[in-house]
Amino acid sequence: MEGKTQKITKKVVLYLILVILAVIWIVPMLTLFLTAIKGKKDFYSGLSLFSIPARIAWDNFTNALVKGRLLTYMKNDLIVSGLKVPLGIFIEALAAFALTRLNIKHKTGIFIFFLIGMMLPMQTALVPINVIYSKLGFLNTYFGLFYVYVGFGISYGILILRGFFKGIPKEIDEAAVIDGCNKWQLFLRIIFPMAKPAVATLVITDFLATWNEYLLASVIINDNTKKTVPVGIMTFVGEHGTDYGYLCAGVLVSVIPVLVVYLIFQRYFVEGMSGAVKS
Amino acid sequence: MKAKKGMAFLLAVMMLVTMVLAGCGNNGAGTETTGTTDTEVTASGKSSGSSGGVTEVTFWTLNTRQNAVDPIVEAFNSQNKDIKVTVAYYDTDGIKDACKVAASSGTLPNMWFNWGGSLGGFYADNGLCYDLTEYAKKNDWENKFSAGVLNLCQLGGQLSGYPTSYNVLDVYYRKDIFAQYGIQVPTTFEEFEAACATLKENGITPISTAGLNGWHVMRFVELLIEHYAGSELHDSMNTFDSSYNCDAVVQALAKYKEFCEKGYFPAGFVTADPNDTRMAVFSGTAAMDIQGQWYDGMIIQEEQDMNLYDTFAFPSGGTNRLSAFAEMTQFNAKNTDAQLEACMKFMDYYYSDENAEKYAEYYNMPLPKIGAKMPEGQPNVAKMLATAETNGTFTITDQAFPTEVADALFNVQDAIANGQMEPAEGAAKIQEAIEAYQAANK
Amino acid sequence: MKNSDNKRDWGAYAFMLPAGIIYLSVIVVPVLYSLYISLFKWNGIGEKEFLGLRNYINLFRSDPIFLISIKNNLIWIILTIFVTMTVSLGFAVILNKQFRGRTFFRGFFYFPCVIAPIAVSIIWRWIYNPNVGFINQFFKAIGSDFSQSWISDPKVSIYAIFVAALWQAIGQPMILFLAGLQAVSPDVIEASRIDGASGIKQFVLITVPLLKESFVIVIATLIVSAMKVFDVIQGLTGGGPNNATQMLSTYMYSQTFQYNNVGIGTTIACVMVIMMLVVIVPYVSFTARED
Repeated sequence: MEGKTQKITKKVVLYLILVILAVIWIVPMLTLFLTAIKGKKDFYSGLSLFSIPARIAWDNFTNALVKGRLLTYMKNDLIVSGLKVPLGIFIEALAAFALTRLNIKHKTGIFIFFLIGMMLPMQTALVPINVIYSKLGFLNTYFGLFYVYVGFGISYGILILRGFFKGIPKEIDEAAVIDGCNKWQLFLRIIFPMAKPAVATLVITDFLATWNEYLLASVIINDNTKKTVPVGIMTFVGEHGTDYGYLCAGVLVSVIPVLVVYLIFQRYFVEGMSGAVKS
Repeated sequence: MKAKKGMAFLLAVMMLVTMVLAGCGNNGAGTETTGTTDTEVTASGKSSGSSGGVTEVTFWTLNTRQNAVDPIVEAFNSQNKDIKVTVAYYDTDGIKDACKVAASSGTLPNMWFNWGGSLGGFYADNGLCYDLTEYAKKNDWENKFSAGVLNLCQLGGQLSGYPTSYNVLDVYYRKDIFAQYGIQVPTTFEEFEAACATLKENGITPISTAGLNGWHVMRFVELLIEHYAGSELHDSMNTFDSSYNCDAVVQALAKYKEFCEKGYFPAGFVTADPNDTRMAVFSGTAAMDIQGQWYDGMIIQEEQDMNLYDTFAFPSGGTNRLSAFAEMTQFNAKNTDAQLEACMKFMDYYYSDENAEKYAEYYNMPLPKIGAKMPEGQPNVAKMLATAETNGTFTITDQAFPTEVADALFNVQDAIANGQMEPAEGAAKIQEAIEAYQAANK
Repeated sequence: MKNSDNKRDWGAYAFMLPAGIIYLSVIVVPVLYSLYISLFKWNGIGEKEFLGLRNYINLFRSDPIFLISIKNNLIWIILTIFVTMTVSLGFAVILNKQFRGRTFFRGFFYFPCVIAPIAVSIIWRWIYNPNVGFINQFFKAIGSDFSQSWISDPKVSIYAIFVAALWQAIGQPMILFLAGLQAVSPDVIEASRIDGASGIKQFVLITVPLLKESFVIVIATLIVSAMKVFDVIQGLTGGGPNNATQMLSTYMYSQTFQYNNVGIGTTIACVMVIMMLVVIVPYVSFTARED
């Protein structure tokens, strides 16, 4: 009986905390939503920026899509991200597998070497990459963008996957070898599938990072038909003024794919799943 | 087991979608793709740029102009079978960075949008942009462009660009607010101060300004310097021939400090976004904003009532000069004669009266040409240009200064506003930055 | 025996080959290029003047803005490690529990993370605006005359920006912890509960040690992102007022792209990488040695 009331109080406290946090979290979000649906008259009314507009300006969304060409840019971004994320993760997983479960020397040294890519400020890479790409004709190609994104993603991918691979008990390898698995099979059939939460994490973070990447995209791609979303969003930041309504509406539309990917892959974070795998 | 397959399936779907999209993209944009790869070579100056008698040139400009430039380029390319122009768009800061990266990597386009002053001057100083002095002489630019704008495009001892706009800055004010409190347009500096005091007493912020990145506050500070130094000394200070560490600057900064303390600027203006200064003016919580003639266009675009606005020249004394700056198109120094000819032909078409009229909202009107048409429904444009003509102009400070010196001035502005610095120290700091710049760039 | 060991080695290295090749071309080339450029005085175009290590020496000896930037980055790192990590761990633990609406809340708290940095700056500038901003209006509404100029006040500015950054930065470490929590078997937790461990004690003694690898990942990424923090600073204050929020990344950007001191800018970038290595190498080696 006592256990039950305790359980209920716990639930109440949990929800209370969540609601308080949600209220703090929601203020900036509301600002974004309200600005996105505000026409110019309402925006400059002198009232609070947090007021509800007299008229909901749905045309902000259509304008963002048409003037900002967001549909084209979203399609382009999907091409780059859709290639980069799965292939990048596979390449990173191969390296992380070698760094945690295979017999190689200087594992920590190699690992740290691979981390430098995360620390390098991207601005320093612009000129060398631009020079190389202009010689090889990679400027204005999806491949060119894909290739640097994979390169800049390697550090983070290896960092995360290595951490999770380390958590998988070594006995599994031994058992697999006894069963006649070679290294390739061990990786593909056993270790990679066991790191599901890690792969899900990477899909989410990688997709987001690729989707929102601005700096490299703005230098490598200047062909209008091939630009990606963040470059499109910047269309609303003008020389003499920013179009806030369009910008906020554009941001809201452009994050939909990222949220969809997140919501699909977050279901791999289910309490105690790896406990089941272990047994 | 089911979950495992699910993940592999999802990743596979992701790649499949990608390939389908990439396929569509190729079908849709097949021709454009080849075009760009070709011009990329042209841009780096490695090929002659003419394949099969077609001269291909690349043009980088601001993305806010895309909706005008796209159809203009299309029309131009179809009218001129021997020229193919390709455009790339960048945002305001993006184009500065992209051009610097391209300059370092040797991949500058055939022509690019730029501002005058230290931004455009960098390309002139380093021999990256075409010196148009000869070309202008041959083509009688003296009778084509206004003298003021040609003067502003004269950088690093050469004519460094094709003038595309000439901007002058004036004080925009709310007529209704001035009328409500019985304020006359000030004709002396003292009257201006009195007007500010009246506004403040009535709960209106006199001057809307914003300090993020410094340049909007600078528009007021430079007018104070003009007031205390007079035009001659101000000019020689901005060419670094006279020291900034002088009485006039100290007085100007002291007055700026007084204005800060009296609350003549909006609260927290130091880190406010310059793009937002109009929010206070449009909503009537502030009465004045120092802006260029493009502000008329903003008033229309933001659906405000033009009848509420008027302008006056800041009463700094002397002839009440306005600050001015130019925008231009610069041309790659490596352009062949044929490429330069093609670029010029395109510029003349882009900045023709018909196109400017057709896409007026995407130009900084008026065109900097002699006898240019004034935009309709924008009464202050003609007025301000006439004022500039009679009162004279000086180059706006952030274009007169190299960026690191301008940043030193902006830091002084911030520090004084926050009460961390005295005016005398500020004047010394600016001069220190000037001397450091001169020492580093001997 | 030895022979077969060698054979195995080569096979193992083959697994690293694809990552290695791409990494060398995309990352290592720019790193070497930057180290080289940092030894010169160069405006990005003209001739390079060899300075040796003088760029480095000058920065540490006679550049007050550079020193302010280092101080600010250190403050930012400390704030990130303590605040961002704690809050995101808390979120992860709560959102790992089974309750109605969990998916909604997971999406809700992750949402700020997906918004483009430019929009984040715009929103928070409005929230902090002393005249029309939400915070000051809120105090007015509840009858308090408390008013602050937030990001324009040099004493408060960096912390105010940090709060904005926090709002957006929680998402990433949160899902890293969420993923890490999947490795914590409920059996273990259940066992400790039977032993009579209380909630908090159980969390510190049982859950935290099991999250060791997650902590390595989160701390490493947080240090790196704190060292490289750029967008939110550039967007909210541009390093101002009067350099009060200047960071190494923003100062590097100014030197490289605005002042045309490419040599100095690149040197700052190299210093950033070196500082990160100084912190992360011992940390990673230490945690790797324990196994």
